[in-house]
Amino acid sequence: MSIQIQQHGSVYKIELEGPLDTAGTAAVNAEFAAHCSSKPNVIVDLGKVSYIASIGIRLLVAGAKAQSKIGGKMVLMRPDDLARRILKTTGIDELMPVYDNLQDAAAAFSAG
Amino acid sequence: MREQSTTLARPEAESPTHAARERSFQAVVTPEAVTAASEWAKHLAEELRLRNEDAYRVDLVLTEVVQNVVDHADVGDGAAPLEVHARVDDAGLRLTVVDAGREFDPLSVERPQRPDSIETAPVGGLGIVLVREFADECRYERQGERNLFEVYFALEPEKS
Repeated sequence: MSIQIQQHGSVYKIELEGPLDTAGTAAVNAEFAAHCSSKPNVIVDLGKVSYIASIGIRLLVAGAKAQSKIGGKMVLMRPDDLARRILKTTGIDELMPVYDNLQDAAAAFSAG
Repeated sequence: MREQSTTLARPEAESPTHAARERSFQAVVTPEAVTAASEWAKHLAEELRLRNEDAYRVDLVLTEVVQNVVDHADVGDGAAPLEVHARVDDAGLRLTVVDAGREFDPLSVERPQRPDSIETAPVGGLGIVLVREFADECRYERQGERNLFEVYFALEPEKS
């Protein structure tokens, strides 16, 4: 599991790659949490995430809570069909907007 | 540190038909059992040539059920065993997860309310929500001193 963070203007894109299972989530948790609690406005790119268990959902929810505390917000991008179903089943898609591409995800921040 | 004595038996290669077959997996109730069970589920899915979506949900559901056991079994410092029995036939796959922890029925836990905002969203408690969604049937039974949690998956025709 890997994590890459890129800045796009005033927004950060966090690209996760691999399975968000127990081991995968543990591998990226520290860097993900540190970023989410210090730099506002984050797009999490799930395009290369092959699997999400509930522990991965916890990572996202904890990150979004941290964003809220520092005045930022988190949106999600490019989940595959099964990840989308998991986000819907858990109600996460109602708390974090989900977009198909970077342009639309970035526009969510400029819209206020 | 407690020794992890998970046995991760790779399912034997056999005919790829769904004639009734049984497999099992044993672990000790520790956090490492979750990853080991997930790996075993992947091997099982490979052996059964499950479609990607079925392989995903079998892995996901077993991961969440075993995580639940690890979180709630309260087995103290003893090396409490955890067993998973798989039975597959033409109709589908049945997994039975057995542990000797304290009585805990995950299905008795009310589904978390959908939160209005991220600030009030619970961080956990979603595993059983995923189990209910991705398994076709699930049931719990307390049998003597053991918890039995059974999940069933109706399987689509195998991939070629």
